[in-house]
This record gives sequence, structure tokens and C-alpha cells, in this order.
Amino acid sequence: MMQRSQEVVGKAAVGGPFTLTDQDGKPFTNENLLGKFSVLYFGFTHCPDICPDELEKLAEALDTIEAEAKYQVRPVFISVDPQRDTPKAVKAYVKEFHPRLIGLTGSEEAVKACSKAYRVYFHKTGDSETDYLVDHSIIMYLIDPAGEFVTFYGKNFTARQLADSIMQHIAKWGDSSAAAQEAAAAAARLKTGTAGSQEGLAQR
Amino acid sequence: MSSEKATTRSGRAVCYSARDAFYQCLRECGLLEVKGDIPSKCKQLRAKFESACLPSWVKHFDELQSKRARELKTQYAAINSKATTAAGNLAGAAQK
Repeated sequence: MMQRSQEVVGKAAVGGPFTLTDQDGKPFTNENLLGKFSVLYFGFTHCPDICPDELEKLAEALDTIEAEAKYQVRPVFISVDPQRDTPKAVKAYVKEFHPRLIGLTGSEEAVKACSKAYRVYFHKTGDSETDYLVDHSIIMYLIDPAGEFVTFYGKNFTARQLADSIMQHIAKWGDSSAAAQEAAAAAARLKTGTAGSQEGLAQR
Repeated sequence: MSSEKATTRSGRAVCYSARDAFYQCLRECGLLEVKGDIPSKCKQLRAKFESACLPSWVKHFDELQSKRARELKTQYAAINSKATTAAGNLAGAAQK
């Protein structure tokens, strides 16, 4: 039985401008999410079990979607542990899950701002300064080619269910030419800087 | 376990198998979780588990195990109560 992802009615206020750093030390902003469907997952490299499981699941779903829908979804891992997750650490981590997996990190402020925009809860646990876990919401966010939040998936979705649901959204998007125009318009708005301020980006 | 090992697939695999070997030993001793003293039979496996995984991970897995133990106990209780009240019983006595 196919699981239905949450029906999000209207434009949920999830997502927004952010500026982080990718695993090669280059800036990565919400603008870099345009052009194709992306799946965002917030986690940390020192996660004992859940993040590896979720990322394996995501990798499997990505490959299924590529094989069956001939579509390459953009997978993005975003760290909620800026203290330990340097770009170098993130690079080694994401490499093991999928060649296309993008890993983002940044300063404490930048990570907090991005998490806030996506309504991601995270909280350091334990007393140690160096050996701690980060409690966080276990959610995958689906973002459309216009950079808008579409829906989210909880831990209960299997790789198969994830792939099926995402492929449904891809098909729906493809059917709508109005959506394609909206995506182009959104891209244009961001390029001219009228979409509001983006933390860290110089005024053009 | 070093911090570097914790963030690699192979490091995690070593930790998981040490963890599973330890909890399997506990099960063989009739225990579902770590409570008080560890049976001497499992002490070495415990040491291996603690060196293969970060301390924060050991704590996390122990807590998960305790949670599962509680869930299992609840399930056993439910099954046992159903068994005595359901038609027929587990001892195989025929219904009258």
C-alpha cells in the first residue's frame, strides 16, 4: 500500500533563504536548490544509527527514481552539528552514501538560521564537550524546482514509498506548464535580488 | 572508538557487531538489558562494545535496549493475560 505523504494545503511557511558551505568549502544557498527536485535531510556525522539509516534509504530511493523515472533528484545533507562537522568531515561522510549527496555545514549562526527556516528542531544532549549526540527531527524535505517546499517524509517511509511519492510529485510537476513558468520567474526574481536579503551574500 | 571511526561506515559496522554480540550474550543469560552488574560471561564482550563505540553511542544503545525491554515486557504481559482469559488456554486443555 502506498503511503501518502502529508497533504500540505496552501503554501506552508517552510523553507527560505539560507547560506551555508558545501563539502568543498564553497558557498551554497537556497538559490542552488533551483532547477530540479531536491530532498533535504538534517543530521550530523556523529549520529550512531538514525542518520546512516535515513541516508542509506535516501540513496536507495534516488537510484530507484533515476532508474524508473530517469530523473536525478538533488540530495542534500545539512549538518546540525557545526561544532564538529567541518566541510572536510562532511565530505568524507556524504561520499560513503551517494556520489551525488551534497553536504552542507557552516557557522553556528548559519546552521541555526537554516534550521529555523525549515522548522528543524535540534538539541545537543549529554555533558561532554566533545562526545555528544544531537537530538533532531527526523524528516526529509521535498523541495520543488522553484525552490518551494512541497512535502515532508518521516522515518516511517521506506525507500520504495519515498521513491514512489517523489516520482508522483515529479510527474505532477512535469504535467504543469504553469509550474515551469513559475520556476523560471522564481529564478529570475532571485537573480535580481528582490526575494529579500540572504544572509552572507554581498549586495550586487 | 575514535571520533574519525564514528563517522565512517566501517567504523559503525565494527561498533554495531560488538554491540549485537554483547546484547546477544545478555539474552543468553536471560537478560533483556543492562541492569546492575553485567554477568561475568559477558564482561569481555561489554569491554569490546565500549571500545568499539563512542561513550555517547554506548549510552544511546543501552537506552534503546532498555526501551525495547520495557516494550517486550508489556507485550508479554498482554499475551499472558489474553492467554488466560481467551477460550482454551496455552496448556492445551480442551474446551468444555
